[in-house]
Amino acid sequence: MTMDTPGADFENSPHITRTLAPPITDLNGAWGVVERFRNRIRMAVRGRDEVIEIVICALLADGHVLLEDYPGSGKTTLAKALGDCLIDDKPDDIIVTFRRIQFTPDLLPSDVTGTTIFDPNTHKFFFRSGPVFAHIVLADEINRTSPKVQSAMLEAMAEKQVTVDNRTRKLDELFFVIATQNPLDLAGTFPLPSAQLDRFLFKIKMTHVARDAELEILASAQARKHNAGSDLPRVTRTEVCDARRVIETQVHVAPQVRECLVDVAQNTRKDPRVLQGASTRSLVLAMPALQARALMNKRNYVSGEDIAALSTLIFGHRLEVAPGVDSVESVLRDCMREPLERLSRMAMQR
Amino acid sequence: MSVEKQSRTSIVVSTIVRAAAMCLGALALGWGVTLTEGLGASVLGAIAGVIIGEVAARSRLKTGAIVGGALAVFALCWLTSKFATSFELLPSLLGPSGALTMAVLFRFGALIFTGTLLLRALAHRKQNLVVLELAALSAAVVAVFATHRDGVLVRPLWLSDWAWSVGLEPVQVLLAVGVGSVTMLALLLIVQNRGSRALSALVALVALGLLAIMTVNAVGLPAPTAENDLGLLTPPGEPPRQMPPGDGGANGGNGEDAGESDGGRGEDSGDQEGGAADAGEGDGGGADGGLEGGADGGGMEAGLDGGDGGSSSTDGGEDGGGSSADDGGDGGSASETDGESDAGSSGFEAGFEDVPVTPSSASSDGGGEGGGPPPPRPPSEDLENERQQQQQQRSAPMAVVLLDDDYNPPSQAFYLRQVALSHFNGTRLVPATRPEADRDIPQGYPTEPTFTAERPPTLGRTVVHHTVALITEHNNPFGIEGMYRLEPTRNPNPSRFTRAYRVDSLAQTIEYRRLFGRRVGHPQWTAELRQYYLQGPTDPRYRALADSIVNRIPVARRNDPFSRAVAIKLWLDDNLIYTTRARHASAADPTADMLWGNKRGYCVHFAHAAVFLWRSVGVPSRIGTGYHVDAQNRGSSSTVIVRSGDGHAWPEVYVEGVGWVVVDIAAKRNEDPPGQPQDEDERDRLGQMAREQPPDPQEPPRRQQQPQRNRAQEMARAAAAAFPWLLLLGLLALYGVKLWRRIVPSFAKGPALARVAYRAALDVLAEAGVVREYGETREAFSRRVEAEIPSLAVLGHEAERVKLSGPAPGEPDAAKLREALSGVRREVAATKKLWRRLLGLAHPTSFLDVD
Repeated sequence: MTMDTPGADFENSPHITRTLAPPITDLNGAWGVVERFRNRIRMAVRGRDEVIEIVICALLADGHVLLEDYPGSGKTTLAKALGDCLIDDKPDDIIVTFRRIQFTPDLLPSDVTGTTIFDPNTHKFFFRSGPVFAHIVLADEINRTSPKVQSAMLEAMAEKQVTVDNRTRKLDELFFVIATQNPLDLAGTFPLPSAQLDRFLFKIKMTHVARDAELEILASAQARKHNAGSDLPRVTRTEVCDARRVIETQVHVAPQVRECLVDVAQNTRKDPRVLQGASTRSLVLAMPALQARALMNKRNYVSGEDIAALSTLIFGHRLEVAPGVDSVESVLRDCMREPLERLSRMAMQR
Repeated sequence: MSVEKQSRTSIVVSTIVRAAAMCLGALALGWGVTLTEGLGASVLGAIAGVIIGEVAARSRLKTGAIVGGALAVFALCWLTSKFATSFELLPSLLGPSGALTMAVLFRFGALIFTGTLLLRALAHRKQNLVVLELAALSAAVVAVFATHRDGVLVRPLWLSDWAWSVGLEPVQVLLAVGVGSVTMLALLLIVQNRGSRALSALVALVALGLLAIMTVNAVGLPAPTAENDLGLLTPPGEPPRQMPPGDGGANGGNGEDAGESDGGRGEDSGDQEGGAADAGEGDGGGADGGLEGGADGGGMEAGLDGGDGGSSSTDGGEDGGGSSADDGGDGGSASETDGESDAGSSGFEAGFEDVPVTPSSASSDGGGEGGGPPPPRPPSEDLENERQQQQQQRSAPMAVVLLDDDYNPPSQAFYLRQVALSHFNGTRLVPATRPEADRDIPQGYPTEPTFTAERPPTLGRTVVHHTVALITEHNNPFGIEGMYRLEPTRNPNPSRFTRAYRVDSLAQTIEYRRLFGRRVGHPQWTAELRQYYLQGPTDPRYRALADSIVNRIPVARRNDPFSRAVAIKLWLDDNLIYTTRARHASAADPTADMLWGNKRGYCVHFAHAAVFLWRSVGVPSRIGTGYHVDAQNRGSSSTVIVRSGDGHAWPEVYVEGVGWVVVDIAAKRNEDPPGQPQDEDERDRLGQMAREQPPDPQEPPRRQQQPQRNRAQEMARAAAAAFPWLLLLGLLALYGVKLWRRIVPSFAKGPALARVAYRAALDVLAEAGVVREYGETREAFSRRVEAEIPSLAVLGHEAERVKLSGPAPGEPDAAKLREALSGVRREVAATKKLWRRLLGLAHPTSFLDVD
C-alpha cells in the first residue's frame, strides 16, 4: 500500500481564491471554473486535451471516471494535476484534497476506507481515515485488487459515504474518483463486475499521444518539473460544488433532448447485437454530464451534439454486446443515428 | 452508408426484388432470340448474377478483381459454347442437338450472368452506378416494345393477339406494361435508396412517365402505315405479315385518298391473299370509267343472293298482293322451261364473267352471307387461286353501319346501295351514262354535308340516320337505300377504319302489297329517260318469256306494272337455282345462257334476268349494287356489320311516288351450303370501335350511345392537354418555394429568423451539393464544412439555441445572423464551382435535401 500525501498545505498558498472570488451563481461563474481547470491541467498534461475535457466534465457532473490506458500514458499525471487544481476551503475536516490509492491484490478494505485504532494514550479507539477521505481519489490499477476491496470502493463511490465498524461516515460532497486500469497484462486481475462499472460515469479509452504533442511533452518536461503553471488560478471546493448546482439548474434540457437520449437507450435494448442494453441509471447519470458538456461548449442548453459526443463514453462500458460483435462504438453509432436525426430535424421545424 | 444498418431481411427482400426484375429483363431480351433452354439459362444466370454480385460486393474483394473474375467466367463459358459447336468431341458424345443446347445454355447463361453480376457488384460498390442497372432493365423492356414504334399497334404480335383474343385494347395493355415497368423501377429505386432524396427521384420518375404518356396522347399515335392490316381480315391467330413498303405502293395512285392508302396496301397484298384492296386500288379508278370489270364499278362485287331476305320480301308481296301473282308465277314456272340456247347475243365482254366469278368462288353459304371480295377489284388473272383465297375471307368485315334510328326494313334485309346499273350497253347493264339518270346515287364521298341530286319521295319511306365506318376503302359511298344526304364525320379510329361518314336515308317502309296498283316510272321523266330505263336486249325471247308469265296473272291485274314485275319475280324465284358455282362466261349472252340453259346462277345473273324481263314488258327498272345484310344479323343491336360476303346485286323498280323499290329475286332452290351464323362478339366489338368517338363533333349526337365512355375519354383528353401546363405550374411553384426560402430571412423577425436564416444557408449549401448526412448532428455538420464555410456554425448554433434553450430563448441577434448568412453565400461562391452552383440553382427540388 502506498499513499501519496501532498507535500504542501494548500491553505497557505498565495493563490487562494476563497475570499477574493465572488460565489458562483450563474453560468458565467461556472464557465470560469471550467476555464481555470482547463488552463491549469493543460499546462501539466500535454496532448490530452480531449481527456482533460472529459475529466472536467465528469467532475462537474458529479460522476466518476475510469481511465483505461497503457502504462506511462499520463493517467496519474492527469489525476494529480486535477488534484493540484483544487483548494480545500474546508480545512477543518479530515478530508484532504487529493489521495492516490495503488491497488494491489493484497490490499484490504480497511486500507481504503480507514479503520479504528486504539490510542494507548487516551485509552480510546479513534478513527483513522483511509485515503478515500479526499476530494479527488486516484484509484490506480483498480482491477488488480480483490473484489472485496473493490466493493469497499463501491459504497464510497455510489453513496459518498463509508461505513467502518458499523459507523457511517460521510465523504465530501465533491468526492471524485479517477480509476485507472491497464487493458493489457490481465494476468492475476479481477475484472470489474458490471455493477461496479456502472458506478463510473465515463470509461475513457486513452490513446497514444500524437507525435507533435509528444515532442512538446519532451520539450516542456523540464519546465513542468518546476511546477509550470502553478501560478495559474485554482478552484476551491465550494466553487466546484456551486458550479455543479448552477449547471444542473441553469443549463436547459429540452424535452426533445430527453426524448432523444431515451430513444438511444431504447435502441440499444432493441438492437440484436446487444445482450444488455443501457440501464435507466445510466440515463439519470447522463443528464448532468450532458449539461456539463453543454456548459463547457459555452451553451446554456443541451444539444444533440452533446449526446453524440458523450454516448460512447457513458454507455460504452455499460452495454454487453453479443459475441462476435467487434465494437461497441459502431453499435452505439447505429443506435444514435435515428434519434439524433429526429432531434436535428426538430430544429428546422416551426 | 447504411449498409451496416440494413437488416438481413431487407437485404434478402431487395435481392429477391432485384433478381425478379433481372429475370424479367433477361426474359424480355432473350425472348425473340433463343430457345426455351436459352431462356431458362438466362433466368438462372440472372438470379445467380444478382446473388453472387451482391455477395461479391459485400466481400472484401477489390472491385477490379470482381470485374476481372466475372469477365473470366464469361470468357470461359463462351469458349465452352464455342468448343461445343466447333469441335467434334461434344457432338459425338451428346449428339448434335445436345451439343447445340449446351452451347446455347452456356452462351446465354454466361452472358446474362456476367451482365447482372457486374451491374449488381458495381451498383453496390458505387451508389451512382445503380443507374446502369436501371438503364439495363429499362432497355430490356424497351427492346421488347421497340417493334411497337411508329404506332404499329399490333406489334409485338404475341401481345396484341392475346389482347384482342380477350377483348382488350392493345394500347391499354401496352400502357399497362409501361406503367408496370415504371413501378418496378421505382420499387428498385426505393429499395436502393431511402429517404427524401429517393422520394424526390421518385417524383421525378412519375413526372417523366406521365410526360411520356401525355406526349402520346397530345400528339396522337403516329398514323398507321397499314390501312386494313388490322388482324381483322385475317383468320385469327395468323397475324398480318410485314412486307417491305412500296411493294404494293405502286398502285396507290387512286385519286381521292391516295395519300392515306398508300403504303399499307403493300402489306396487305402479301397477306390477305387476293390482293384485294391492293390491286383494286390501282385499277378501281379505271374500272369506274371503263367498266371492264363488269358490275363492279362502285367496288361492288356480285355476291351471293341473299336467300333469306329475298324470300321474305316475296312473302310480303304474296300475302298482300293477292293470289293472282302467286298463281301466275306458279303456272308460268312449268311452261317456261323452253328457253333454248340462244343465238349468242354478241360480244359479252369477258369482264361480265370475270366479276361474278370472284364472288362465286368465295361463297359457300347460301343464306344472307355470300362470298364477295373487297369491292374494288380488277379482273383477276388467276381465278382459281383467288377462289380459294377468298373462301377464307368471305366473312371479313368491310364496314360498320351504326343506326341512329330504329329501322326495320319491310324486306327484312338492309339493302345498302352503292351504285346503280341502268345503262344497257348492248350486252349488260352498266352505270348510267346520262346525267339525268340515277340522280339519287351520290357522286363520290362528301367533303361537306351534301345532298344527292335527287331526293327520294317521302311516301312510304322514313328517315334513317346512320353512320358508316369503312374498314376497307370503297370507291363510292354506300348506305341504306334511299340516301339523300351525306356528311363526312371524324374517323372514330384511324387505325381501324379508313373513313367514316354519316348518311341520311329515306328508307322504304311501305309494304310490298301496298305497291300494287301504282304506276311505275316518274311522271316528270322525259320520254327519252323513260325509254332509257326500258332499254334491254333485242333478243325476242325475253319479251316472249315475260309475256307468257304476265299472261298467267288475272286479267284485272295484267296491266298493273307492279303486278307484272312481281309475277316475273316470283317466276324467277321458282325457276332459278341459286348457286355460286354457276359459270356462264363462255356463253355469248350469259343472261340468256342462264335463263334458257341450266337456270343456275347468282345475284348478278338473276338481277340481269329480272331487269331484262321487266324492261321487256315496260317496267322501268335498274340494278342496284351494294351490300345486302340480313336484318336478323343485327339482332337487337344498332350495329350492322357489312362483310365481304354480303356483296350483292338486286333488281329495282321505280314505283311512282315511292321511288326505286328493291324487288329482289330469291331463288327457292339453293345449291350452296348454308352460311355460318354471325359472330355477335365481333359485331359488338366493331360497333364499339366505330362509336369510340361521337360521330359528329359539331352536332351533339342524336342518341347518347356510350355517354360515359365518351365523357371519360373527353376527360382523359382534357387531362392530357392540361398536363404540360400543370407540370409547368408545378415547376413554377417549386421555384417559388425556392425563391421564398431565399428571401424570407431578409424580413423575418424574432426567433423565427434564426431558423429561416439557417434554412436559407442550408439551401445555398444544398444547391452546391453539400448536405447534412443522416444522423449527423448540426454541430457536426457545421464542423465538417467549417474549413470552407465557417459562417454556417453561427447560424446553426443560433437555430438550435432558439429551439432548445427553453421557454424564453431570447431574441437572436438579427444583424449577426444576416451577416453570417451573406457570409455563407460568399464562402460558397468562393469555394464551390460555378457550374455546380448553377446546376443547383436550376434544380427545382434542391430544398428537399434540406431537413
